[in-house]
Amino acid sequence: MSKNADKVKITVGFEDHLKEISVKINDNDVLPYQPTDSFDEVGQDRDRLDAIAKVTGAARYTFDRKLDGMVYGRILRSPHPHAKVLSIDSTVAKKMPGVKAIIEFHEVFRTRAVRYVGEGVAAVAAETEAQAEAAIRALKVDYEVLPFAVTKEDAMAEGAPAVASPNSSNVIAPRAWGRSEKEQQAHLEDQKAETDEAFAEVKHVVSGNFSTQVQVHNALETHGVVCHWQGENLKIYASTQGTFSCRGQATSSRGPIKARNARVLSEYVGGGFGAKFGLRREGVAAAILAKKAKRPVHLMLNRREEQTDAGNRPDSYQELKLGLDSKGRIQVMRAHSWGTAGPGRSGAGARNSIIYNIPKIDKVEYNVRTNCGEARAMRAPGFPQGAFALESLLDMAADEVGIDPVELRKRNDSHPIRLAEYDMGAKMIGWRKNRNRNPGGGKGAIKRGLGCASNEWFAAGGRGAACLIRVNKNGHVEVRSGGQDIGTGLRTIMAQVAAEELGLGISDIETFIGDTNDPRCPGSGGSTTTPSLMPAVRIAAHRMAQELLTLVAEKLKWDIEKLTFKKGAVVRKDDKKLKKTVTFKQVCALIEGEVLEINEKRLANYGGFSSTNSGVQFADVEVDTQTGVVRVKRMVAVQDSGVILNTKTAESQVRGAIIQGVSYALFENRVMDRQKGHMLNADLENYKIAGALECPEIEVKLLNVFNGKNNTSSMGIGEPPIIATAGAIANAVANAIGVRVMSIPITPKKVLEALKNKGKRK
Amino acid sequence: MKSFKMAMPKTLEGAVKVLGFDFEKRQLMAGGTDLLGCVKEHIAEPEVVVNLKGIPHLTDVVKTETGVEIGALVKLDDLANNKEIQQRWPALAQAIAQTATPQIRNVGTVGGNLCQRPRCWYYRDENYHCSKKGGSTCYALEGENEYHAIFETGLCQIVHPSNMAGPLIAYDALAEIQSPQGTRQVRLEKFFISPDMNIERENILKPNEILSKILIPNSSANKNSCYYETREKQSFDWALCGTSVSLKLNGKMIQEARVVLNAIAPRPIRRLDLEAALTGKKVSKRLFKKVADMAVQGATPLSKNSYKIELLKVVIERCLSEATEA
Repeated sequence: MSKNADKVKITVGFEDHLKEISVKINDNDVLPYQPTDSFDEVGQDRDRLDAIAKVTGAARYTFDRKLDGMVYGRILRSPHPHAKVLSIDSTVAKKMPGVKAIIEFHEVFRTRAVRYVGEGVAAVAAETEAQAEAAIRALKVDYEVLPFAVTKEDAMAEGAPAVASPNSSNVIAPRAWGRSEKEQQAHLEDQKAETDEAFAEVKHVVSGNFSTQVQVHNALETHGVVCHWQGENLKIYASTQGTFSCRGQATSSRGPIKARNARVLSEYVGGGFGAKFGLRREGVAAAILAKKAKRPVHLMLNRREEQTDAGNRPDSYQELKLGLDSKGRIQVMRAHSWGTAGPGRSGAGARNSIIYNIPKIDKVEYNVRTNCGEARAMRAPGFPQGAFALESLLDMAADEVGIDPVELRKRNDSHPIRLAEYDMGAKMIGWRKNRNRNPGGGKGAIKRGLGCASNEWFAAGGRGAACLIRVNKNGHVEVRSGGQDIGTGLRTIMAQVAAEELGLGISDIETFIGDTNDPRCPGSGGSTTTPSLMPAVRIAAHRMAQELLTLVAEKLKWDIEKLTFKKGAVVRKDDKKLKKTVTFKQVCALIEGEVLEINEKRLANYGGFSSTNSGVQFADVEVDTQTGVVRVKRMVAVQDSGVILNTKTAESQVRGAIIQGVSYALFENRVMDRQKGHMLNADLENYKIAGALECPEIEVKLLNVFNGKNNTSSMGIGEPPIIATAGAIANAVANAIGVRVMSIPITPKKVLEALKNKGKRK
Repeated sequence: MKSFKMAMPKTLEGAVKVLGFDFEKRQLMAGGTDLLGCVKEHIAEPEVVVNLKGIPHLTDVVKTETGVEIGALVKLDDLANNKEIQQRWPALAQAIAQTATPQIRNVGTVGGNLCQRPRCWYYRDENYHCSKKGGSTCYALEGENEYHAIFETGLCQIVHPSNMAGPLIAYDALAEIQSPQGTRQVRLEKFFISPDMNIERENILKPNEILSKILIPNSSANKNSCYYETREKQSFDWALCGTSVSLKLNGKMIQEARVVLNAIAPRPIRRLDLEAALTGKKVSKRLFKKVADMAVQGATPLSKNSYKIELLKVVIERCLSEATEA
């Protein structure tokens, strides 16, 4: 048999951009969903299976767990931004009422360094939370207080104190990729010289310096765990984005917990935007406290801890320069950026070189260490900050070249899907009609403007997930995976994909997630849970259907090749009538023994149509030029994510990302005090998050793309939509008032100052 | 949170007896929304919380011959929805409607709103022993002060957080205070104090005194009155600048005026100079602009809040316009 003989033709693409490609389908796999397939469950608008449980409070989150004999853990945190813990005196705390265990972090984590206000120092477990709180306040810590810097500017200043250690610079130059420091320096200089040449040759040059703020994740449920030892084994209820990474950490022979085995349970998670991987220090502390106290320990962070010691999106200062030819095609870009991810040495890049075609680029990202809470991945890490700056500069370039901003983007974009999305979005927002032709002009204080920006993501998923399907003789179907649902509706789409294969409805299926005793599933990062897990669900369900059909085919002497399940019964694929109606339940009754089980793994990706998914957003804003208040009236999002498995939950991700994006563009901002190094707004009052009145009217168009990357053709959608929002809003504000605010959040103060400066320039 | 005892006096006289002479040790509770926050943040660590909920009639809104009496424990939401208030003293209803969140308005009270502690983030952080807490430094002076005062700055840069105080002062409201010696009434504008009088407090109450009710005189009822504020966020945020005005008009002629500014100083400030500038004049955009310009003369903004000067001018102009358009 020749190699090509294994290949089959499949159709990939979207709407009227369809084409045929040849693919070698893995043994054991099914063909990716095809445009000609008809679906009863997949791609439908379905309420979450757990919606009622969530809104009525029946859903039990980690925070809600109450175990017999459970005690409460609290963590003592450093009031100093930079210090060394010399000693901890627990004489008083030990004797306080209810206190069951005390641990000192330098013993567990092997460091005495405290690098930001709020970093943990010790922890106590006590009968009540109030007793634990009282006990940590009674711990006497002797600190050697060290000089600190909490802003990039302070950390980069001449003579600035060393933030992390005396041997390490506060400013970390880009990674050298194997080059020596000297070679790296030469490389950067060459890169600059080369782009300088290119800038000298282009028709148009635009430049601008942009800033973005630190954004804090602030998931509704804070970080935390309930730890319960059963002998040498540890049971952990965790609010996590990675059940299996928590288990790995708890059982690692190199970690401080060293459980013989661990079971991590995460039935419901109150949100996760990238900061909830692994047990983190609070999880480790809870496990060790539980061992010492010989009692289950409940340890959840409070809101202040959540904001100071549970990650954030780094800030950025970006110097951008763009060179374009006379037709508005980008020839060269320079993007030098500085950002702080706290005391660590990496993570503060501003991603902006992915979406548009940029032939020559001089991109350098510096990480600046500060004595602030550590950054962690946050919803499209690096991208919203990069997009805000580049999308702003693209609009400035469009002005300079004298062409429409959407047209300029199209001239510099070759993504097959996004090129279509620009036109769809422009039409939805009324780009031609509604854009302000006289920015800042006209009568009245309120000015309206429109803006556009785009996004791209890499959410095809990959291997590492598995699914177990179990069918009882009585017809009960359970679908299991140990992964977690951070809000995307995992339970529901698992049921949809399985139901489609078994000819059932989602209410006929019971889905179980969030238990590491079930088949493995990767952590929920990179918007990959759906595309990583669903292909496994589909193979498992498909194979289950085949086994069940075999039972009926053998019994009734039917040709199995012609059979399938539809609407709860066995039917013929060619729609011809069967002699006899056999329901799904009747088939299940043929199962020998009590139960049929199938456990299937996710296979590798195919080439498919596109490895990236994309989107375009448009903002329609009103700016009060006297008060500086920006109101986002309407957002239009055109977004693709492979084959959309549930239109409702997919749309919900886009809406959520837009709301978080509006919040990022206009309100959220971590405020640090340079005098004593504390975060001043570590609450939900002064750390301002968009509320109901800040939410614009949001119109989402989901583009169904048969991408052929896996058997469900699905991709992830959690992260990409947040990338474009702030950029689109910033451009809309500029279109409204005729002057650009170069930093987010775009507050009344900044709008008023920008307008004042514009007046001065005239 | 440190545990405390709860006292539930049945009368105001009983309540002042429990209070004693130390602000810190014994603290009053009405709705409790602010006290709870202070206790959780260790700003307040009372030994005894004197809960006023057991005292009858503090939740009453009573019409009298001379005006309306509002008990200190009347819930914000109840007052904002009171038809009488909405029709006769509209600026008050407007101010309350913009206060906090629906949840807080359902629990928070009139007395609690007027007596709440400042929101300054240095004051609210136990790690900053600022001058309001008996320390020697105001950290806002050199620190993050974009939301702080632009008038009466120097000692302490807080802005008084109550926005309903503004319209109440504009409506000539009186505060009734229960003390061990009995009750007395003071003009609400005199109830609030600036830091130079007592940097640790925001009003004249002594440790054993209670704000028991607010009296609004009938004579101040005025449809040509307005509360206007601007803020960053529309749902749940504090005012950047606020203004309350009440104008007695005869046609286009202003016969009498009240102008109170809030969120710009450690206390709500009634501006007699602006009132004088309006009185006897004809309503016009030019007049309002002139008054707004006048209002910000003498402002002493801090390093990061001079934008509030322009903002305040806009707020004053808009407030005056809306009051005359009513």
